[in-house]
Order: sequence, then C-alpha cells, then structure tokens
Amino acid sequence: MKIIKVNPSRCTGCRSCEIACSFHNLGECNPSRARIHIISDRIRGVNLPLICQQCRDAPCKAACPTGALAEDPETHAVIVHENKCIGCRQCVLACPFGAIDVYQDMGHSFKCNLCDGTPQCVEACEEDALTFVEEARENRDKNWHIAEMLQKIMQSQDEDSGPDFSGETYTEWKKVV
Amino acid sequence: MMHGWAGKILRINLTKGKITEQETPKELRALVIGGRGINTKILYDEVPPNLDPLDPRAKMIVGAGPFVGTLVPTACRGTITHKGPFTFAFCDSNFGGFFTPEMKYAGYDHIIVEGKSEQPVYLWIDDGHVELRKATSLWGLDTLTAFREIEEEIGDREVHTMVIGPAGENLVRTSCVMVDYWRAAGWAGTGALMGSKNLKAITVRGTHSLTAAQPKRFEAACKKARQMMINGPRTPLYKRYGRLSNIESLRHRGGDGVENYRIPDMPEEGFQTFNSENIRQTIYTHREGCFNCPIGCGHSFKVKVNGKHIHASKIEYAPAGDVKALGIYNPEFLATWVYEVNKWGLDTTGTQNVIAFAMECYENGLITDKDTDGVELTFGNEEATLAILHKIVFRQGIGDVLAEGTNLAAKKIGKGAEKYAMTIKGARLHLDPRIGWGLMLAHAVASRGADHLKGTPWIEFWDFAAIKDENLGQKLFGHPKAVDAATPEGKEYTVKWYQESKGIIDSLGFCAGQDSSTSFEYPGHNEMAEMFSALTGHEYSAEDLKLVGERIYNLEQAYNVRCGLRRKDDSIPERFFDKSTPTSQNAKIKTVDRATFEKMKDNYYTLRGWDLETAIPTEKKLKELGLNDVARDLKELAHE
Repeated sequence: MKIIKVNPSRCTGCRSCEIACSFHNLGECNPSRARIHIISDRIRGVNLPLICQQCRDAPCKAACPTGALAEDPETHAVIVHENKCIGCRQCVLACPFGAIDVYQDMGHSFKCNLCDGTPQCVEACEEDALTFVEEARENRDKNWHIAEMLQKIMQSQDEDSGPDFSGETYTEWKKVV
Repeated sequence: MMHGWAGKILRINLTKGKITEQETPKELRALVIGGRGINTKILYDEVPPNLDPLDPRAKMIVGAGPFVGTLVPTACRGTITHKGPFTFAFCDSNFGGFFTPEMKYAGYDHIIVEGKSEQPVYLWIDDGHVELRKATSLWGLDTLTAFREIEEEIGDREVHTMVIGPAGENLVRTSCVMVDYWRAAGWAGTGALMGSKNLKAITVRGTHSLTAAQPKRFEAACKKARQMMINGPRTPLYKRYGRLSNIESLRHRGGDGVENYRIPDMPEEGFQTFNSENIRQTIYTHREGCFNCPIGCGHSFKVKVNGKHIHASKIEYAPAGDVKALGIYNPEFLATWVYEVNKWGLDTTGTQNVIAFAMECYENGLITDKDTDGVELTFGNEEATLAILHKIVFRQGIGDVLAEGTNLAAKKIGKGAEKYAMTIKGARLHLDPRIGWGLMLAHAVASRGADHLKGTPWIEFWDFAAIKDENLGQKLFGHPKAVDAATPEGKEYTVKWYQESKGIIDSLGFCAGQDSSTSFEYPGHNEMAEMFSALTGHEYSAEDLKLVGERIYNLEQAYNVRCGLRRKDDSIPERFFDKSTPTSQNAKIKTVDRATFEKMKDNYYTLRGWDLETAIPTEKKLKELGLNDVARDLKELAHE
C-alpha cells in the first residue's frame, strides 16, 4: 500500500501542490479549496505540508452518520461518496488534522482521495517534499539519516570535542526533523 | 465569463474613505493585458505628469496579470506603479511572493489607492469585504513586527500583507514596501508614497476560484512550461546559489563595480570571502520559493541579531552587489545588511547608492565629520554603514539629506557633488554599464532610469552553446552583430526586443528570472501565447504579445516625455565617459566614446519610431499601436 510521505525540511513553501490539487480535482485554481495545505511559519522559515493521513481507524469515517466515507479497496484512501454525503460537518469536527472540509456551495465534504493512485500534489512537488511511497519503506531514509548523524556524533565524542550541532551535523539533523 | 483575470479593479480614496469597484475594462485588457500594462495605462490616464510624486492626489496602483494565481509556473509577480519619488517620472517595481495571487483570489486584478488619510490606516481586503482600519498602534513599527501585529489583529496567520517600515513613514525616498515578511517591492520608492498617504499596510485574504477557458489545453501548456524551467541550464545554479551566482558571472565580465563604481574589480582577497560558494557556506540555511515556482531561487539565511542567530529570508544578487559597492566583502555583513534594510523598509540598492555617494563625498572632503556627527564614512566601514543607515531611516543629521535620494542629496550638498551621483534619471545604478554595449544602451534609455530589468539583452552574456552560432544575431534579431557585447552595432534590435519581452512578462505576471531572457531553453513568447490563449480564450500569437509589449513601452515613454524627460536624460553617469576612470581587464568596453554612444541612441530611436531630437514617440508610431489618445496628447506637447 502506498502513502504520501511528507518531508517538511525539503518544502520551499511554493504551494505548487495546492494549485495542482485544486486544478486537478475542481478544474479551478483555488488553493483554499485544495486538499493539501502548506502551513508557512514565515518568521521561523518553516513550511509544513498538511494532508489527510488516510488513517486506518479514521475518525471522519467513524463520525459519518450516512456512511458517505469509505475506504477505497485499491488505493486504501478514505474517499467521499458525494451522493451519500449530507454536508453535516461531523467529519470536519472529528478530523484531528483539519484535512477534511465542507463548503456550502459544493454541498458535500471533500478530502484527499490520492487522485485515484497518482497524487497530483506529488507530481507537482519538484523538491521531493512529497513522495508517494510504499508504506513499508517510509522510514528507511530517516533511519539512514539518523544512523549517519549518530555516527558523526560518536566520532566527534571520540575526539573529545563534544557533539557538533552547528556545522554539517546540524544541516543533516535539519533534513531529518 | 472572464477567464484568467479576477475581473475587478478596487479603488480606495483615502481622503474620503470611499471604496469603489469597477469591472476590469475589456478595452484595457485587449490593449495592454494587465499587470504592468494596465497599471501604466491607469497612471497615464489618471496621474497628471506635473503632479508632485508625494502629493495627496498621487496614486499608487497595484496590479496582477492574468497569469497570477493560476497553474502557470512562477505566476505570482505583481507590479506597483506610480510617479517615482526620485525619478519624478514613470516608476514601478515588481515583486513576487503570495500577495498578488491572494489579491486575485479575493477578486481584484488591480488596487488603486488615491488621496491621503488623516490618521494612519491599513487596508483590509477579505474576499468581497473591504475596509480601512485604524493603524495608529502600527505606526512606527518595523516591518517584521508590523506583519505579525496585523496577523494577530485579524486572527489569521495565513493572510498576505504588504507593509511599510519607519523609512516609508518618514518619507525616505528610497524606502520600499515589504511583502510577506521577506519580499520587497523595492525599486520605485513606494514606501514614501504609502507613508505620504498615511497608509501603513494592505492585507488580503481571498478564497475565490480562477478559471481557465480551455482547462485541458491550459494544463498541458503549463506542464510544458514547468518542465522547461526544471530542465533549464541555469536551474541547478539558481537552486544552489539563488541569484548570488551573478557575483561570478559579473566578475568574469568586469562588472564588480565596487566603491561607488570608482574601482572596477573587487580585490582578490575580497573575492576569496565574497563569492557565492563562501556566502552559501557562511550564512545559507535553506530555500524558500515564491508561489507555484519549481525553482525557488529565494534563499533563507541566518543572521546574528543581539548575539543570537535567527532566521531571515530572500537573499539575492541585489544586496550582494550593494554590499560590495560599499567596499565590504564580508558574508556576515551581507546578512546583517539585508536584515536591516528589510526591517526598516528600505530599498537595498537605492540606500546603498546614496550611502556610497556619501562615502565618496566624505573621502573627497565634500562632507566632513561635523556633518556626519563623527561617523567615519569611509568605504569598507561596516559600523559607519549601519550608523548612517539608521540616520537615514529616522532622518537624523546628515540622514535627513541622504533620505532625499542620491540626486536631491547631491543638490543639497552642492560643491560639485553631482559627479559622485551614480544615477540615471534620478534612479540608482546597479551594474557597471561597461560590461556590454547592449546593457549600456538599455540602462540609458530604460523608462524608469538606471535599470537592468527593463530591457538588458542578457543574450550578450550567455555562455551556452547557442551563442557560438555566428548567425544567431541575424536569425533572432535581424542584425549580425546584435548579440555581441563588444560592439555598439545592432544593439537597438536586442534592446527593443528585450524591452518588449519584459513588457509581456510583467503584464502577464510571469517571473523574469525564468523566461527566455535567461536562456531560450526557458519558456518564451510562444509558450506565453499558448498559455495565455488557453487560459483566457482569446487567441494570441507571439507576435500579438510583442505588439502589446511595444505598446506598454511607448506608453511609459509617453508619460516620461510629458513629465519633461527628453533625449538628453537618456544617458549614463559622466564617470563612465571619463577616460581617467579605471576599467576592468575583463570588461568588453574599455572606453566609452560619446559620439559612439549617441550614435547607438540614434539607431535606437529610429527603430522605435521616436523623434531623434527629443525622443518623443511620433504620431505615426502611436497611431500604428492604436494609441490615438496618446498621440493627441503628445502632439500638444510638441507645440508647446
């Protein structure tokens, strides 16, 4: 099963993903109606892509009184069956990430559906801040980065200089967290 | 239904507190598209050329082109147009970020601000709801604090804002408008204009959709343009160094221009520390991109403030060029400089230009320790630079004189200080014009003064394989020597082409760093025309777009001649004609002969269809471009 993996440290905050998402799903350019949102802390210079996590035990699904939210058997994405949705916003209340929304003029809730297996946000991300990967491999990069970082810290301790968080090690660390 | 454009122009009269809307007129869209084009037309129609730039009746026009906020890559560029506080003629600045897309989502292509408020106010645009809010508590705040305070007051940290700092409030003529914390509309001295109107900020939130006439075709065209940018030959450089890579490009061509251009090359030991790789190693942290840009050339960096490293953003070539023009070759100081000018709301190059001018005056005894309150204003002095910067922001002592901009300051100081003013039409020089004849011509004739961004034929400086093609000049521009930086021949063709190209880019809302002026592997006029046609449903060819570019340029020239500018104002500082000024070994032009220079201008005016003696666009040319009303105005002018 594939998931959208987010690596915030690579995100430049350009919002190409938002515009690609809204154009693909609505045929319009409107980031406020995209299913992905970049939260930009411009003072600290941190950009964090926020997107539906496709929870296994999805609170939105549990909250839906009409059974309009269900798992897609192929992509395993939680998708909205628009004809069953009554727009009651219970899912919006339940979602801990703010990743599902209802707009009056649309009449139903909307959320990430993984674009039927080829997420357009991932396609649009030139920085690999978003990648579409097998669930089982999600952590491999991170494991390696951490291993390399720990190795460097151990080396620097050998030389009795203490951990170095300013130079190269710090850059590596930033890539991970 | 309108596709591409948001559809409305918002007009704010600060004197009466009146807010009105109108549809973005069809005729204007057909004539000059949008963005810079429509801005210029509004300026031409509504702002009398004899008006003082800071008069309450002066107007500030913010514009976004039809591309802005859509799927078109890099389409986030906005333009602010008004009469320039230091050029006293046409002036505009272009900026990126997220403000203009948001403005279009809120429903507006243009915002016109006129009049003057009695109390400090800021403008809050929330989709269709527009109001003027009290800004008494914001007045006096530096830009970074003001951004945060406005977000707190509105209760949403996702809004997009442009603000002025204390420099703008104090009517410093080289002050800028800061956009989204770290981006600047710096060129035109807009800060002073907003300050003169008691307008601290404009904040916008928009949630409406922009649509395309032919979505499938539009998507395909945008994806193609995006791929061209990603594969472009300069993209890896931009990703690694941002625009800082220009430090090396210019050095190889003898364009360092240090110490107010009196020395052509940076000293070797200076270059050891002040090169793009070392700057990257010293202060770089990560990249941040403008809206929908696959490149992201804006680099964030760390800066030491009160002994602690903090995050700051958007470093590019301009401030780096500025710091070395002050004779300082220290990357850490570059970070401090960018942070300080941003924080106080100053334009980096304008401020540098006036400080470098003051330094040369000081070193030559035109101003003394008494004038500077003991600040030892010598080139390379970091402390003195910051001290004088603060004096300019708050108009203290000599700062009050320098805050008027280089030309007016030179007039006030007198004693022949004009010869140290490195300006054209009152606007600050940014590059040594002797690096190429095309660049020199473009600087001399640019509509907003010493300007490398309104028509420099960058093709002169390409190192790519294409330039080896001997017929390239003939093929592209119709003159065999057009692309050769070392000869003045044929430069009118390239300069005109690039001026019109920039007109197209700016009126659409595309980024000038990623289009065919950078390299022909990047999206060019054909790609623009395809995206434009699919987006708006109006079929335009590359040639149609070029005509729009020509119109815009003629409009700007028409406004300038009505402001009194003539052929004699299309020049470069005397220093570069002076044979005793040292030239770089690497520069293409060793000496600038006045007759050659004037001949080059002759050719340019002839090709443009402008009068040779006055540089006034001819009636024939203007009518050919469909600018009959302008032709009428200029006819009266000729009779005066």
